[in-house]
Amino acid sequence: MAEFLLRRLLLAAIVVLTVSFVIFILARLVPTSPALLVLGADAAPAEIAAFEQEHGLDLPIAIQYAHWLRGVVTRFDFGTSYVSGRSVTDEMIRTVPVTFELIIVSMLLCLVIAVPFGVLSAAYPNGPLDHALRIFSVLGVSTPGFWLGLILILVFSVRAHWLPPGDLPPIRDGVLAHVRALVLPAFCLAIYYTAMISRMTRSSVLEVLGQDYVRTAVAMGLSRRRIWLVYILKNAMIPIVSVAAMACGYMFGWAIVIEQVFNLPGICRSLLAAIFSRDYNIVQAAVLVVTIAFVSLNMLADAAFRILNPRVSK
Amino acid sequence: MKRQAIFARLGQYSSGVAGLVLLGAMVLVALLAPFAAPSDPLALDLASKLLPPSSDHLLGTDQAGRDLLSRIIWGARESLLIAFGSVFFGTLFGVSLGLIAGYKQGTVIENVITRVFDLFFSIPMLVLAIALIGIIGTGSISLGPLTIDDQAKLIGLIAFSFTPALGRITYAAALVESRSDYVRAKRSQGASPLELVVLEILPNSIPPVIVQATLFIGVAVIVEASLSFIGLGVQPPTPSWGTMLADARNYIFSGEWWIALFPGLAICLTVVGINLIGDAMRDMLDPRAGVRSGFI
Amino acid sequence: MQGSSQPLLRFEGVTIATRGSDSSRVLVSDVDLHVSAGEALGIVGESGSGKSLTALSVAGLLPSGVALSSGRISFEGKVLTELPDSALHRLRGKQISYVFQDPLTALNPTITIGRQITDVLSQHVGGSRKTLKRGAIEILSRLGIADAEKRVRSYPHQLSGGMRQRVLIALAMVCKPRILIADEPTTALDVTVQAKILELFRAIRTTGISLIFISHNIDVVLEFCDRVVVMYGGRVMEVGTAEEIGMAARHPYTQALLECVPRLGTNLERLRVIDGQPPGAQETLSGCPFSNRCPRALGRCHSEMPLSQQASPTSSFSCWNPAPTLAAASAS
Repeated sequence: MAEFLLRRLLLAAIVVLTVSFVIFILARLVPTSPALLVLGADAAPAEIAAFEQEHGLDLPIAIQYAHWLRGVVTRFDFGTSYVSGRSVTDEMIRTVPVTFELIIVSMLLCLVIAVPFGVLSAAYPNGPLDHALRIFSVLGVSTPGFWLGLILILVFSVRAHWLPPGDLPPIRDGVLAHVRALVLPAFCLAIYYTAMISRMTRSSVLEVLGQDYVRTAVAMGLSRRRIWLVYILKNAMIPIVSVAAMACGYMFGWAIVIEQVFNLPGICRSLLAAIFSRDYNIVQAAVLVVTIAFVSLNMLADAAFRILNPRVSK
Repeated sequence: MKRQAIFARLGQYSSGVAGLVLLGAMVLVALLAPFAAPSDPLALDLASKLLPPSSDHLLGTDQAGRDLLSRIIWGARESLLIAFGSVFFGTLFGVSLGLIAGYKQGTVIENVITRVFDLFFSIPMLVLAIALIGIIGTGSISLGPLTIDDQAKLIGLIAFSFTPALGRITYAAALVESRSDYVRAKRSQGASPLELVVLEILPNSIPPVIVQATLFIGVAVIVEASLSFIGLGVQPPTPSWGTMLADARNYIFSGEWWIALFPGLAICLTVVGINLIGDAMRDMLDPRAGVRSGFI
Repeated sequence: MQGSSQPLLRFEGVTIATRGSDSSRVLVSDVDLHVSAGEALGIVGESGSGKSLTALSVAGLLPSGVALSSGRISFEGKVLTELPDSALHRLRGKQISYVFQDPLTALNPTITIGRQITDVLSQHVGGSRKTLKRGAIEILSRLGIADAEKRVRSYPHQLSGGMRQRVLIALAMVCKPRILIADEPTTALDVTVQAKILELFRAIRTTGISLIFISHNIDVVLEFCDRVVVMYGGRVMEVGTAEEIGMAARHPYTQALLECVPRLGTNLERLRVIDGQPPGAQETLSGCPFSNRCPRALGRCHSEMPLSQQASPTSSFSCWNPAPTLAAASAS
């Protein structure tokens, strides 16, 4: 078991490094030097050369990468932003928690809605809740999160003046305001996965309900509560946990759009801004964070599936 | 009794039929855009800017006075072209790679292809697409004699993002098929690899791919809209539902709700149609496939 | 020889049908049977004969869409068919227990077998965790599972088929029910394991528990049970003691079943089979369900269901044209 874990970790590390290296190379393959963007399009060649030398951009790509990697691994130094001149590490410390919070709140919202919805639909098939789920699951995966965001901002913030339209008040200014600001973006980020997971939950529960061991549990006179918790849900939720972990990973992608809509100061918004301004170091750092998070969540999904499933783990 | 049976069958697939109708309407509108649109989507008319829906402009006008309905109709063209195009190419490449990998088991090629797929599964597709566009740049690019405009670029990029997923599905099916007794027998009879792959393995590997590809069309619409929304997709002034929503963002606070509502509604209806079709296809071709409507 | 006390379990005119909105198909028709305390009743029939549904109906375990449409089932004098499900549920596992056919799918794959047993114990008997655990270990070892202390922590997929069946039996027996209903308990097992499990059932009978043993294998049933019910097409064809059925069966179907089983000493050139197919669930028949395959069928058999007639104080059959007994036939 330990050997297996180690092998997976090694593989994950290789993947992360490869992605990081590929992005590094691709960024530097673009003809437009960041010098031009920072100093202006009509900067003199001498100025450009000086800029490049100052930031080490004239060295061979492999060496540049080695320098960068060394800085990251030994000092957590991701370099400085070409645009703001500030340390990228500082920028990340500010923005990464915001995105992580957004995703965590999204997933919580998703599970709190999707799982009961799916379970109850399976328990009362073809009932009104079941029909509602079928409609919701199609609408939920077809509605673009960012459009939903715009509409919700329109309805709630502008019309009803309820929820603040964007930007994230820090926790120390009040937990309630902080959470309120996250609810709309989290909902928009979560809706696709809520629709999907509620449908999967329904399927999974229906499948388990038809299993022989549930009939055995009933025939043994076990209480309904125990049958639902230990015999039905314990089995039905196994795939759902894995899917939820993977969904968290994919949320990092959509967070780029959602953070833009709601103007949340997360790493995904920084990534987008950095892409436009060719701020390589921020792009590099953000991609690294997202890749690590994604790969870790995939591993978590895999591990969860194995651990929860005695047939595989023992 | 027979008529009842037919209706029962149709009823089973009624949602699929509804989806077909929705999508069909959108495609028709897109194809007939020059005739269907009441006015020129690019015509600026600042005098009539930001007008709410009325009998003159059924869905209102945007900030440059352009009729929203016309822009949405022409936008349908963009979005559907990019969506269908990207899924087409993604399926083409994905299926090809998957078949090769599945047929040539145990070889270096199989290893390389599957490892590359695995690599691409390590990043969320959207991040990959955004990073690549960010690097390549928006707008047309010229590679020597060839000019690739931004639509073709988008098609290529999104197709590229779909290839691993479709490839993996094909690969899994091809693995099973190429080990089947029937294929082995034919191979020993001297059938050429191409014959085997195209005539025997491919037809049996296709159904799950078709289902996933159909659902990916809907994904492609949303991805294109999202990319255009953040400015990395279709470039203005070409009408696209995503860019219209980007513009709308500036106007929701001043109350011009129609610019935000209608383009998004168009996206919704189109994707709902596609998903209904995809679900119906899944029921027909691959009923026990589980509910993965495609991880994006 | 008459039962001086009430039978433990009694079926009166039980009919089970599907509860469809458009149509309803009769799956089990007009079944009368009874089981006395301490007795083992065998129910024999091919697949589709309705034997499993008959068994499931006792504790109200019929699948959704299928229900009792008429008749009564009484247990210890109480009419089960009139009880609300909550009251019926209290009897399950405690008074009336089941052992099902496929031991792998019948056990929860995500909990240990010890946990499954303690679940049942804590539901009906209660006690501290230690007492429950001890109870589980005890019953597992009593049912022949070696090293029970370690085995309680195993998961179902880690055990062999025979062991899993023992676990199912343990689950059924742990609360000492009055009646145990076993539906094809040995069918999914290897032949050598089958014999061991049957021995186990024999040992269980010594505790005085009543047993309903369902099988398609008439040989096993005759060897093991006191009385036998033969079912076909959802109806009871013949009832009698094991000896009566084995030696003096009157119904053509029963005789055919007996002749199908190859026995040592008989001089057969080919194995005897019964031509034709049992009635599918689609067909609703009038008349005897066996009539289209019966070598002795009369015209009347196709249109009128035969009434049950007593052949002896303890046996009866439903046939218009019963065969002479096998003993009489071979004598002539």
